[in-house]
Amino acid sequence: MKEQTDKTRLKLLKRLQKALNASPSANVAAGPCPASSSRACSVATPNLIPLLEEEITKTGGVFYLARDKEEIAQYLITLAKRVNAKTIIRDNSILLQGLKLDGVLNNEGLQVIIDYSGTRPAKETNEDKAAWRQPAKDAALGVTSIEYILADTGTVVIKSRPGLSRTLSLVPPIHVAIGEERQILPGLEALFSQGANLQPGSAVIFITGPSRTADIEQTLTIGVHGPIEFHLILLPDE
Amino acid sequence: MKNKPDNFHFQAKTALNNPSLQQALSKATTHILNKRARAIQELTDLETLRDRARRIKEQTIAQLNHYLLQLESEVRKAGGKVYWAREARDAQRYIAKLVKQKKAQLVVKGKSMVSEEIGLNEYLEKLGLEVVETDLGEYIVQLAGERPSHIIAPAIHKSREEVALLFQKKLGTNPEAEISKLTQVARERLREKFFQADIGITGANFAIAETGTIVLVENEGNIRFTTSLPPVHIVLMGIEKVIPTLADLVVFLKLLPRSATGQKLPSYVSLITGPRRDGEKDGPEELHLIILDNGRSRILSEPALRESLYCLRCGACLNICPVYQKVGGHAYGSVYAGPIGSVITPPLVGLYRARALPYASTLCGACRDICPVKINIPHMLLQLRQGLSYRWNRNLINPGYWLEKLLTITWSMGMKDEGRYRFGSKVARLLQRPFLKKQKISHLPYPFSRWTKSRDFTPLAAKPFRIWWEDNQRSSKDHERAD
Ligand code: SF4
Repeated sequence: MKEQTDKTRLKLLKRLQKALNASPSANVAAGPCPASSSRACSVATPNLIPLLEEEITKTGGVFYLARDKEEIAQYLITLAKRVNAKTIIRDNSILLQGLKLDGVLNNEGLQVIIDYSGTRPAKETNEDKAAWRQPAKDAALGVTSIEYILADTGTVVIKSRPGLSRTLSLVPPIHVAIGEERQILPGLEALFSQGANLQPGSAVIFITGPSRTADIEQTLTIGVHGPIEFHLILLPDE
Repeated sequence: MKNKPDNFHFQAKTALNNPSLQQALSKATTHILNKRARAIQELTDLETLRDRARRIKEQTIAQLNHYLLQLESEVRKAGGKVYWAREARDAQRYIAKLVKQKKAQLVVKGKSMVSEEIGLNEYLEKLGLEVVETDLGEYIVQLAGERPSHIIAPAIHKSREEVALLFQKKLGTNPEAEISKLTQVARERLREKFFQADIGITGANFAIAETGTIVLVENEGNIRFTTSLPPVHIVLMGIEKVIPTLADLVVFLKLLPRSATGQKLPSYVSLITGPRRDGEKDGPEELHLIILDNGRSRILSEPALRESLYCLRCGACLNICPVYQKVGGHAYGSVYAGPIGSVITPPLVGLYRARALPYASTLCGACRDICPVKINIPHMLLQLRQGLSYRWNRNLINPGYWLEKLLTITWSMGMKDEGRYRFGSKVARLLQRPFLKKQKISHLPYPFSRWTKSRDFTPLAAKPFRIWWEDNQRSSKDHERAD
């Protein structure tokens, strides 16, 4: 669609300027906004893992500290068996490639799909809208890597990019996030004071626990639109 | 009939006489307030955070043009389109054009108060589109053909039994009033809509000028679906939602969820910057940001009301308000209910049409004390009342004007002379006698009935103070003598 003609836009801006001028007393000292005072984590970072575990559990998520890479595959197999899963969808991150999960999972009869292997049709008809996303709909488990972990809220931060589609952590009923100890930050302040690191992609999502609602009688119900279970598997630093 | 702000008194009475609504309201507001109190306690630096949040809002709004222009250019850099809408119909028309161009049939929506404000659903339905609200509370309200009655919990007024009956009637499900089952029904019904939708429409909790990022906060995941699956994403945002930087966001992410739902962080916070990038498989191909004025510049130009633009729409002032707790959101007859709604509705729809709302408050100050950005709502309500009484009371055809004059003249005459004062109070005691029932006056003839319709009138004491005082002095002297 054509960009808006400058006339309406300028009219609105002029109107705003007029409104601002109408009450100059309310225009407090112009200048930069006060910055966030708290700085990033201090030199000696305390062990944040116990706090992280506590917070994730509080929000109804499951935390698992893996001793090594092999344990991750075992964890996924157990989980898949519990819910009778046949298909798992995962992203193609370096971390997940390095875990070499696919062979082990295949041996257990589990099909592994890597992101959306098919291409998105250029012009989607109603049929292909459903069709090319079928893998995510079939998968019982969505396994993704993450960008950061926030200890004091039990949150994982995911940035969408090619190979890590937004819906991998949204459509399957169980989302398993896999992170590394070095990705843990104390909390929100630390994340945003690293500013440069959080160059926003098209979508950066903070996930804290499973999907929930309290819209009927303020009663907490888990799993309304998004995943019904949320797991974080943490790989300790070597 | 649709509720209207000029019918507040009647609507409030209807709500007060509805026992199931009374029960739902008191249960829900108490519950949210308790959760909030617990979550807020965890913040050791609460006051600093509130001050900082307010400063950020003050300074951004004072340089609104600057930040909106920065936002515009950053959104464009990220590949999004920006449209400036002066009135509701500008936004409607823009969306209609898009709909036509995309040959869209199905629109999914995430919770957006602004879209309620511009009546978007009815507008799009008239164009022949299917419009589906996807937040569970909004979905319920939409099926019932109602309006949200709370900013955060739209279906706060409905019991599980009512929802079960509604689902049975509209969706043909079996009428089991179990909340998890009802939630499951909504999950299944709406899942397919997300996959089929041509356009997704959301509001914005914040927009970051520095990066052109739209921030959306939610618990259900419906907003993530709405912003990930449909090929077009439209963001409807009021001009006041912009904040300067990502670092500023921290303060608000700490305050908003705690104030709104008593959570440290909600399940999902989405930071959306432009449409899908090269190589990404999902996410919209187009992102349109509509920046809407629709009366907000009127608020901006009134120094006394400006701080109402700092509102985060957390809903805390609704929950704590003794009036809202009793009458619920629908009684206000406006899109925005509760204390903050009573402030912003008059400038949005016209002071005269919303004239009842500034009075729908006890001025107890609880809203100001609970507000995460310290908005002084009672003060603004008084300003609005002043504006109203100034206009109306100087109107010579208003009988109230003459009556008030008469009363004040009589009053000042009585107060200037002791004899007249004594006589006057004697007459008043005589006059009140026929109306006195159980030490209360609950009914008075017109025009005083306008007072007693909604509250009791305090009668004059049976024994005037001076007589009481004299008796008292005498008896204490008797005591002294006895000692
Ligand atoms: S006025 Fe304050 S308390 Fe009320 S909704 Fe807005 S931010 Fe929340």
